[in-house]
Amino acid sequence: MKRTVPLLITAIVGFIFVVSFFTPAAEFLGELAAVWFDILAGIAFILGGGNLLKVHLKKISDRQAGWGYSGVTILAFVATLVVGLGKFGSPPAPKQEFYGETFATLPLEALPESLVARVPGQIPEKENGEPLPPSVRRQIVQRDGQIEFRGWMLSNQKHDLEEYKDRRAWRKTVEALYEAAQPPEPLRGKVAYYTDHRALSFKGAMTDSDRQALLALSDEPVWRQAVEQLYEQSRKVTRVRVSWLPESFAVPESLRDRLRYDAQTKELVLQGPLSADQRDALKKQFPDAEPLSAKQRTTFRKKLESLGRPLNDEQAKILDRLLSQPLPESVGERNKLLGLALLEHGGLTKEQCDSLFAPYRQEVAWRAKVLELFHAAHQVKYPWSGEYRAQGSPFWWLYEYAFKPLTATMFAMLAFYVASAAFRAFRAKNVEAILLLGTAFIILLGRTFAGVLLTDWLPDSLAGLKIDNLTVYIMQVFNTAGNRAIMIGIALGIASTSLKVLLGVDRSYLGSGGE
Amino acid sequence: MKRETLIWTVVLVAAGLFLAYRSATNGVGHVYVDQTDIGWRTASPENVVAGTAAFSLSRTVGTWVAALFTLCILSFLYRDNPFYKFAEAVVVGVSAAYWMVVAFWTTLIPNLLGKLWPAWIQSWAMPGLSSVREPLWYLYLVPLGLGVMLLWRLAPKGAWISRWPLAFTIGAFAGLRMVSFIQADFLSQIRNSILPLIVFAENGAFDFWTSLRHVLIVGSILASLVYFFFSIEHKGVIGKVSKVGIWVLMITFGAAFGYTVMGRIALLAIRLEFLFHDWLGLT
Repeated sequence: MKRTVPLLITAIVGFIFVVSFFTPAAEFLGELAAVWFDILAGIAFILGGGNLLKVHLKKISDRQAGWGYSGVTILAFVATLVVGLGKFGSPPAPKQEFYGETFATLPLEALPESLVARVPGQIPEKENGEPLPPSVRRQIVQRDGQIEFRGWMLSNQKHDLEEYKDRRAWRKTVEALYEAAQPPEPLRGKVAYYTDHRALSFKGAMTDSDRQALLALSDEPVWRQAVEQLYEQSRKVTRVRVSWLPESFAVPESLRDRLRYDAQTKELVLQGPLSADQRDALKKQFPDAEPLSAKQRTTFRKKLESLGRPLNDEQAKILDRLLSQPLPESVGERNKLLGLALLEHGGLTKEQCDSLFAPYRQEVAWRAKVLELFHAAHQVKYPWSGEYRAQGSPFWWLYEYAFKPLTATMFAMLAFYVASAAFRAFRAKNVEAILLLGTAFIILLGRTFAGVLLTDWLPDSLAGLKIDNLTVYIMQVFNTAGNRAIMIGIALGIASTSLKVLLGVDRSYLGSGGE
Repeated sequence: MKRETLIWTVVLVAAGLFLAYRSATNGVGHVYVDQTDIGWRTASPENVVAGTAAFSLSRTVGTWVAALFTLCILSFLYRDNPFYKFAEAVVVGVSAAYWMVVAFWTTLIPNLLGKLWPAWIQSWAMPGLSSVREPLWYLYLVPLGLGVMLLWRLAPKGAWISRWPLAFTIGAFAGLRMVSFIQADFLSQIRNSILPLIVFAENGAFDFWTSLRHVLIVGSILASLVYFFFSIEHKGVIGKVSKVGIWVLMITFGAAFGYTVMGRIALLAIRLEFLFHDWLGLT
């Protein structure tokens, strides 16, 4: 049992891989075993972590020499593990956050009867027995010669259904079902039901008439509660303090009824959430810069020079060029470009910089305020859905500022040891050693500027002797040949070792004892 | 005080004074960030000049920590010391946890738990996942069971239980490698080595240099393979050919050595660039 079963497992799994490689019908077995292998490799990392804890805790408990360093190891391990598994500081995945929408939890079973659409027809069956697409499987049933769909069908669900069977009649049925399974007219485009998320969703802020229209769909308490929750949540008012507004500030059309500026409290007041498009529209409050006339350019230059040093000729030319041409950018962006160019070609005083960059700073500050409003008004749906290594998170910090520099420096240190070992060991005492040493020398030189310069003077007739060409020749001919021979040897070695393992001839991996 | 200690004290004090001076004047290791729709990102130099980038305390501290860790590791070049041991202890702890976290979020959640309990995983970790189970979902109970058996190794008794998953891993690895190595390394290497020894150019003329190259490649491969063929004693013609094979292999090892050294030096250059540019701002 302790040795026979593992031997059988090794042989069966190994031969599944071999057979699946040559048999298309068994390919899925190989793919499945590969996923299992990945899972076990993942669990092996947990085993590694557990072993690390075990060893170091024992070291601390026994007060062995260097136990303090074991404490450091455990501290680093636990800290990294906690921030990584907890995804601390990782923002939720933007694609799954449904910006601009508000969710109220509602299980599929709780959807009212009025949300069941019916069309005459038959759900086709596939020859290979493939079930309906997962996105619709729970919502669609065949009953009394009719196809029933519970909820409102989304466009991606329609697409999945159409792809399920490539028949004209079926596509027509799906089209009819899609039309039947839509919200009533005043709510179209505003309300949705996401089965996978078990959520009733509403875009923007719900009006009283929208609410009444939704409540009219059912008297069931669960439904009414979800609608009321959605109503409250979608009308949440968010305030962000903004001490100034852009000169050309105008509320975007899509937010006309929901966004206003309170001049008394100096706050932007928003009702409901913002979608990404609405956020971007609100950000764009700065018109594109118009080209300046010669007179305007002179005034601009005089004003700039009055704040500090006069512009040199080159700077004056740059100023003239940038201000006279139309640019698809705002005044702030244009002035930033101008400021950077002037700084590069002669410098500016602090006052001149402040004057030039002030519009750009205002634009950046406005964008930051809009982002603040966007995030404050958003209802977070999946706080743990973000990237575990999101930039700015503590786990990213540990990777970027501890893991990466430490491992990179450890590998870099090998440069010293390899060089030192080579210096001690390399002695040109026979042909083999001379070949090894000479090739290493040529390759090393060939990878440096100095090496290339060293033989750069050689005439074209002797170009083949140039260090860089010699490097290429060695790599293409002798290195290729040697590596091929080594790789052929390795492949034969691995194949024979693998066969020995699979056939149970080599059992060393099982250990010797019973335990 | 010993002369060596004195020299090191002077060097360290001078370095400390230099750092203090640079910090006061230039802001050593300061990192600035820009706010974007998806979070804070390292600022572009243009935005730092324009004064719109925000100072990031956490990233500045991070740069200092990374610089000190780099110096701690490099201190081993002098000799083993507490700074190096400290950095070594940190790298062991951080890397073990790092790979655990990577395995958890990239393999165990989507490929194991996501297959067994998709609705639960979809509800908090992977909103984009379908909450409907796949038809053969129960097959994933096998790796779960094997995984638990693998972790049994941590228990004081019954370590033999972990042999089952170990056997699975070894079997999978052996089966996979046997086929892939024969295909990629054995057959394809031989296929690529079958080259025409006499080559003619497009205009019909004899191409001496390409022919020579092909002859050298094929001859070198055969000579190297003869050297690896230990079933015959390396005497006479075989001995001479295997001698040539050794020469070819020595050239290969020399090239590999040169590349390895250059690779390490490139890594070292990156670390030095980090210290002098990103941290001290000297370049």
